[in-house]
Amino acid sequence: MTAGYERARHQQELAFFGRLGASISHEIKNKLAILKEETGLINDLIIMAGKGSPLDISRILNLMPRVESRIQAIDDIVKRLNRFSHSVDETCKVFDVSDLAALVCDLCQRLAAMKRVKLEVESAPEQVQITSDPFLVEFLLFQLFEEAMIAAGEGGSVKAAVRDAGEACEITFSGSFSTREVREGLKKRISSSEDFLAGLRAALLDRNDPGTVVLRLTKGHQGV
Amino acid sequence: MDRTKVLIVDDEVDFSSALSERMTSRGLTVETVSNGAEALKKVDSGDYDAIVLDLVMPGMDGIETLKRIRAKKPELQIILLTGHGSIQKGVESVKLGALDFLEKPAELSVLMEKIHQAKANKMVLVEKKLEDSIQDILKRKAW
Repeated sequence: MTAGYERARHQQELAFFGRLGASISHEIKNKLAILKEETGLINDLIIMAGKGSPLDISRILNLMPRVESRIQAIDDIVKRLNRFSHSVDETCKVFDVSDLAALVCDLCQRLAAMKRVKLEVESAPEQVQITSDPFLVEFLLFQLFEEAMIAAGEGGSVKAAVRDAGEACEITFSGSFSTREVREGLKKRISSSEDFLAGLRAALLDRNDPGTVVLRLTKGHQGV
Repeated sequence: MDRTKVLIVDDEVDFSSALSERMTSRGLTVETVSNGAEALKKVDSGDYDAIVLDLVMPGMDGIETLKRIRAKKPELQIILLTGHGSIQKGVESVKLGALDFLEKPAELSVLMEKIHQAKANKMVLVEKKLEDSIQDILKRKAW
């Protein structure tokens, strides 16, 4: 691998990390804004009661579970951020692909909402474990998700189904997109994408099935 | 005095409905929409004193919505709200004619001040527009 290739890829990985970090922080800010208004409403009701208006207990009781669910939602987002941040801790690790794909899908939901695309992951019935670099697999999955969403367009859908394929794990991306567009798009996104895939012992399979792209991840891997 | 009329444009429906309720209890007349396209329709048919506009929305974003509203009704005052905290976007929106730019979660008291300022600004602009029309008519008649 040339130094130039390494630098370009490193920059792309950093950009991915920063971009998801910014997206997650935006999500948290939005949830905090809702929480602020809902607790402000409760405060307003109490202040109005203090000024002589009848206290609307049922309204307050109605608002409290919403406040609690908002706090829970923020906690869930922070947990995802934490998991994502820790994915760089080890470059060679055993992990469940369905679990990782579900995490990336969750992290992409805001992006999917902005693009008005339905995005989902179908987990394998049992765990499918591989030994690989979790951050780089997340990076790859994100690029595929985003490319598929762009190709699907507004109102479209993308689904990633994980399955155990013996010596490997296969993730089939299907939806309202053109296979060629996604494959070409991925080549543009990742510097020397073929070397990158080879380093991860991954491959994009051609199943001659329109609207599908299959990513194969070999189960045993020694890291890039 | 007329009640101040505000349009909130935000794709987070829970946020806009809670904010709307709080503003209504403070004497404002408030309507909400969840995207830029609906906002443009409302602006055509309604007479708002201020628009509270989210920066990041699916489809038409806040900046594009701002530009289109300003093209239709330049006297209409727009306050942008965002979770991004990007000073650059704030400067851009003010250059495009927004009254101001606030970061979510914004203090309601600050937002209310901006809305009252918006109403005052709009009245000045509408009066100026009327004066200019009158001057124009007088000039043409004199001619």
